[in-house]
Amino acid sequence: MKESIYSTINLKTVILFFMSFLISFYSISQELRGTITSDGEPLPGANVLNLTTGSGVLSDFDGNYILTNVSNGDEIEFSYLGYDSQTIVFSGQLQLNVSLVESLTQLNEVIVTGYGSTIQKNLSSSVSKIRSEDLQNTALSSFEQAMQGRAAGVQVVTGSAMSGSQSKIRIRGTNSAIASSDPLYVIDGVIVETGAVSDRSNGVGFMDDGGGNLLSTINPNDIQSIEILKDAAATAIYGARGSSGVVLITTKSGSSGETKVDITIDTGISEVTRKIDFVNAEEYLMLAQEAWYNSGENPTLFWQNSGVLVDGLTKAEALSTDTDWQDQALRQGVSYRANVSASGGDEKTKFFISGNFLDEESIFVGNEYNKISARTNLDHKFSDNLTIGTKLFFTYVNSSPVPVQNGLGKSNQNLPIHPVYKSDGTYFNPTRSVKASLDNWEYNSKRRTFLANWYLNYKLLDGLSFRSEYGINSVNNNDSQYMAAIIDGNGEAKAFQSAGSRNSWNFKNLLNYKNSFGKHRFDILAGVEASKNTYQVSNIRGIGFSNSTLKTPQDAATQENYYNESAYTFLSILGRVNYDYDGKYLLSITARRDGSSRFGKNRQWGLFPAVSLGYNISEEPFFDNIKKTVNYLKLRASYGVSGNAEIGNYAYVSTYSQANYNGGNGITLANIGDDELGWESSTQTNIGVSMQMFDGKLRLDVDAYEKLTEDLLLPYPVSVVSGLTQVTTNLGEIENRGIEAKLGLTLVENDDFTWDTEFTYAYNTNEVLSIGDNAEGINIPGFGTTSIYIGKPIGISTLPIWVGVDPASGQDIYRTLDGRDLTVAEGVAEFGSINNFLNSNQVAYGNPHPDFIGSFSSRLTYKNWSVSTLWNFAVGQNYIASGEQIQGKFAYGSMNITPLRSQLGRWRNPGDVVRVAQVTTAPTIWGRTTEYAADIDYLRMRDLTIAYRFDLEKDSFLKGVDLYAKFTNFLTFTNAPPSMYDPENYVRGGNLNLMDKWKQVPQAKTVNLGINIKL
Amino acid sequence: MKTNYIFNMKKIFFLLAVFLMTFTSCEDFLDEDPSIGLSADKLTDLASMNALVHGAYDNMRGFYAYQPMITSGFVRDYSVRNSANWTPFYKWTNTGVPGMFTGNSYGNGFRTLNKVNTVLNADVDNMYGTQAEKSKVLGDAHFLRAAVYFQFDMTFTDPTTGKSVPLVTTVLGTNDRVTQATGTELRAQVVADIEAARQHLKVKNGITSYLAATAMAARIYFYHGNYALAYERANEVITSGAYTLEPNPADIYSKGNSSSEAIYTIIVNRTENSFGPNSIGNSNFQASKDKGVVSLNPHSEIAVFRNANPSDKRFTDLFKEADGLVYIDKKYPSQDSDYINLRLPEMYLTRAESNIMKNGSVSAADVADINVVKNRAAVSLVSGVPSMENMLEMLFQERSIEMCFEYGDRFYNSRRVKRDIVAEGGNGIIPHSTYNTILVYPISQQDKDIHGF
Repeated sequence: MKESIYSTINLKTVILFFMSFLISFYSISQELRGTITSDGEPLPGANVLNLTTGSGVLSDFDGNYILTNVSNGDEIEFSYLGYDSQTIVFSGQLQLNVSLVESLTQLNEVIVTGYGSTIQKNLSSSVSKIRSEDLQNTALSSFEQAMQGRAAGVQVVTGSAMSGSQSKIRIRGTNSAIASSDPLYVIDGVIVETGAVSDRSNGVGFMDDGGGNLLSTINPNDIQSIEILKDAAATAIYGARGSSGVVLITTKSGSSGETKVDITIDTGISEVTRKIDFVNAEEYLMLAQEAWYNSGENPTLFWQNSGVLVDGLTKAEALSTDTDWQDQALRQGVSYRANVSASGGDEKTKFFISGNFLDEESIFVGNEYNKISARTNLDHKFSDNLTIGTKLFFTYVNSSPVPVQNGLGKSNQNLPIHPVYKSDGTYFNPTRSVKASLDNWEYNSKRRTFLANWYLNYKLLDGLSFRSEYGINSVNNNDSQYMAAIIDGNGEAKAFQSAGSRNSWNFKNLLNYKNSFGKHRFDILAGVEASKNTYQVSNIRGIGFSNSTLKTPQDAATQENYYNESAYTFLSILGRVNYDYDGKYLLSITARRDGSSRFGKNRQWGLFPAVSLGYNISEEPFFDNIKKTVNYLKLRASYGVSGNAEIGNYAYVSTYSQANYNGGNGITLANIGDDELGWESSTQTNIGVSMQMFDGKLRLDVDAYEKLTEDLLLPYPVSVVSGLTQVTTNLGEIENRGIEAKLGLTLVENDDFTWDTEFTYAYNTNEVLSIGDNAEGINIPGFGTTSIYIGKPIGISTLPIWVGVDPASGQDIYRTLDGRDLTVAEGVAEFGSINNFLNSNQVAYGNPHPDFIGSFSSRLTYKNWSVSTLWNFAVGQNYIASGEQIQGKFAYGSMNITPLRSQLGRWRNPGDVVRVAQVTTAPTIWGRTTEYAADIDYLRMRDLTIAYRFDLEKDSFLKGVDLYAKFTNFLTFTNAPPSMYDPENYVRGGNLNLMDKWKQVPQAKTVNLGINIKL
Repeated sequence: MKTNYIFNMKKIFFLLAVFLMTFTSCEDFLDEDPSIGLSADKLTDLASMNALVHGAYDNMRGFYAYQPMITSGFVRDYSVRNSANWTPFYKWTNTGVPGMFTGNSYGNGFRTLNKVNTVLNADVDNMYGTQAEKSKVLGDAHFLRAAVYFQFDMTFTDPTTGKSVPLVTTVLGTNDRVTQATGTELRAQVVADIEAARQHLKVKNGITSYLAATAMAARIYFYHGNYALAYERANEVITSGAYTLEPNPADIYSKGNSSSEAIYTIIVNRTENSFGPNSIGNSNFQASKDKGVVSLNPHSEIAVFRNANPSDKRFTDLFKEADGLVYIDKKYPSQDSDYINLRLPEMYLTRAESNIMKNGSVSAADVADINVVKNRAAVSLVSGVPSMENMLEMLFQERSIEMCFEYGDRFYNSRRVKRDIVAEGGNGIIPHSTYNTILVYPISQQDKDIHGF
């Protein structure tokens, strides 16, 4: 429906029109000749402009130019993106060779914008850039974590310390409900799919390694830059896949000249940032006996009847035991890294080759991770007009993740009075034991990733080039898992094998025309792109083994099979016109038309246009007076539409899936389709200002945006009587509004001493504006309620409001919908039961998103020393670390759960004003309440790197030797309750029910020592 | 030179245009339909009706999955020794019935109904196939609808308001709205369906046989208080001679569907779906201190009956005393044992009690019926003809011992005869008048919100 307005514009016609318009400008030339070079290398495509007459040309592939109609005294300007311009007065020379020097100011820095690039100064959209030095030698498990704090408006929630785990990245807020809001990742121009590779359907346990995070396979040291496209003007070039932001990763290329070799060797140790505060043995017994007594039980029968003595434990043994079960799952981690790269080349051929090795044992007992990667980037100039090249990247990961819920998560499932081993040396209560689980659970995942692209660049005319590029992305994964009988509740050993592969190809053909006519400068792009992704997985699970040495499903008594395959395609036409007048007025128009197999049959194509305007005020003559102070000032504005196509491959079709019975073919309703199902559409308005003052020592970028997402794909709860519990359809609206700012300050800058600092700040509000016919809110009940309410942010829960503890009775008090505060007893009297009481008084509550986030970074160099640090903070996010809290509150119902130490502050006598109710043997109430919700802020020292550069002999074969120490996540200041491992609550990949994490997975702080050698 | 360039440009634009056309016209490229699974428009033949029925039986695994654990918890036949999950089901006076596992019954019940209603509203009569094949499909569909609504009525109907789950006999779209039916309406539908099932299955047995439907009818009429028909149906099953008691109680459960006394069984097949009452039961009832979750509550009625008659084979063979606990492990001997929902002894006990209720007096035949069950358990038989009061008490005890920890008969029957149940603390009792209004499964909150129940 949305498409109809735009589809009447025929993009092809527009592009052809622009092309023919440009040809008419072509003029006959006369003579000033020369070659433009940089570092002795010819510089193709450089601008040669006669400032006096306004005519100009571009240099060809050999850097040669011929400028016409030149007269004595004409000022000729030589300029190129990212280089300092030179102006020369013509004095009759026939030959003028110019060598341009790479510009050091950020204004001329090249910004990759997707299908092309521009310089910072000419950028009118909102793009953040992260440079390679911020990614070098990172000790983080995946490079995307290094984006944290480096770009305003980019929120990174770190997954966990499990090797290779995924992070959650949100660019300018969350703009989906059930569709993914992860940004689109583009590596060297190829769109890659980054989600989990492993499909553990039918597997035997839950791991927190992200199921094979593709991003963690990328070698951070290969990355030249990361550009993050934020506003619609920047993301519209990625059309139906751009609305959650786009992360462009560009890897390094070689440059001609001497071959440079760079070697880094690094080792690190890590430990958990913090542990959960559980009671010890003595405290447990005090609480448990008090609960026993409070429930009217006979205190003398505590040991005999309460159930604390399980698995043959005697009272004497219990009294002499004090186990911290977390220690069974956590350890000091170690890692070893090595990275070698070589780059160089001659005039025709350039190369960048690298190899990377990582061997890591994380803080989780049993977790091992081994990664080897290799990259070859080659560019070859075949002829004056033709350049070809390739980028090849291969990674092999051999990892052994460990179970979380069944590992560390079991820390409260045995008591501190329970020993790890019985006196006979066997595991105590093995099905609930952290130690038994970790010892008897084997997991191995082997993953091979191949990312490659090949390109051909053909210069058709001066300024007009054709680029054809073919990319592939292939991931193969083999998982094997074995769980011994001793830890299975049913006493059966289980084995699991999975083989999965994800393959995609991407083919694009682009025409690019760059030219300038007087003060008019054009950069025009038109192209087509097609891509296809396929996915297959075969899983087999075996249950029951005749012998404990047999560990593959093939040897099992019974086997279960699972197979799945799916595919999707995209077909796109794209175009962009960048225009500027005299470097002052900037205009960029972008459009992409996307078709995808993911969309309903009646809505297969969508158009995503955007426009941005920029005004470099500081280029105006009237600005000259203050230009000494305010060196640069640019105003930017953009408006456009981009989409989100992460709606699943077959969500549009009604399907029945297999549900066999007793060997007979059976089917069950799996999805109710929708021919109109389509992308989510985000319309974003952005205004911004960029400025530099005091010779570039102060740099400020401020952006304000409003992003309205319509056709939000919503889980529409349908009555269970229809045979399904929910369907999905495009009906909601969600809005993100915010301000983001980045301030750079160069505090000191001289030969011996430099000090740069940078601050980022981002404020975003997220609000659901519409949920279709649902008047107020959608609740999808389960363990933890999934709720979407108008006027509230996405990801909230509905919870009963916990008011506190009644000083008279020691009972919890909850608030009714009509505002009365009732104790549990009063609630039961009125509503019939606690469950009814709590279920009947739920309100939409909380905000899982921070009120604002930001960072502070500093880089200081003094003589041979350098110190850099990065701190980031997030303020005001509501989280519930539910498992330990809920079980801890009702720990004495089954006398087998370890409560949190905060339970010691319980109510004991009438008049006690406390936050913890009287302890009793009451059964667990699984529903969440606001008692468990915490409002969390944190400030974390993400990175501190101290490096020393050795002075070397001039003629040494060594070009540089640096030693460094790197501290990651070393300091954290937070008000997070001691029931949480970490204030960064990585709940899950999606966007719903974000406050509630059943069992949190801790993070690590790390110290690395390394040496970097340059040859 | 210029002309040359322009010529090139033309060529280039021509190529580009052709290129763009090739791609845009190639819309097939965007047709990427799922290669796995069946779409709704293909459900037009008997084979797909059969597949729907099989899919519905698969749902019955989940539909019954938690019934034995929940209902045994209600009457407090077990103590929880190792997990917080089941505690709420025997400490319900304050907390009420938590929806966490009862939702499985509701959800799988309606998923079953979605499929059988698809079959019952399809034009089966005009599909290609023999009448027998059609009867078989329709018989199973009616049977499942009766079985689901029977259990819905027994567990979800609120005795105070009489309201229950919605009565749905058509395939509902997502925008259709329904109202809560009364228990009376459900019971009428259950009777209509079970009789329709019998008619169809008489032509040709389906996955469930004609006799199984007849046995289910006996159970239905028994709990509906229609003792005359309950007697008639139970009698038909017994006199058919199709079923015989297993000599050893443990064999019933290890043999599962192939047991000679199993009448209606949900078959377990690991390669299809291991989730069902068998896996839940096996996980929880295991005879091991560190595995399993529950053991016999020493204060329960079952424990009292056991103490009175420790040599009853149903205790000696099915229960296990160890670690100071009594495990109830042999009714769910493995993850792979079938779940028997209806067995021959129930028919004997139903026939006897229905006959007594119908006649208002005890007959020798009724004594003979109870003795068949007692005889197999190797306990002393009833001699002579006891008073009606004594005989009904004996039948209650016999039903309890025979069918404890199975599909819910202990709870249903306690409520039917308004018998007190063991209190939460373990000792003492909670009267029928109290628990009857509390022990009602909560209706899905989602459906309450959507339909405004």
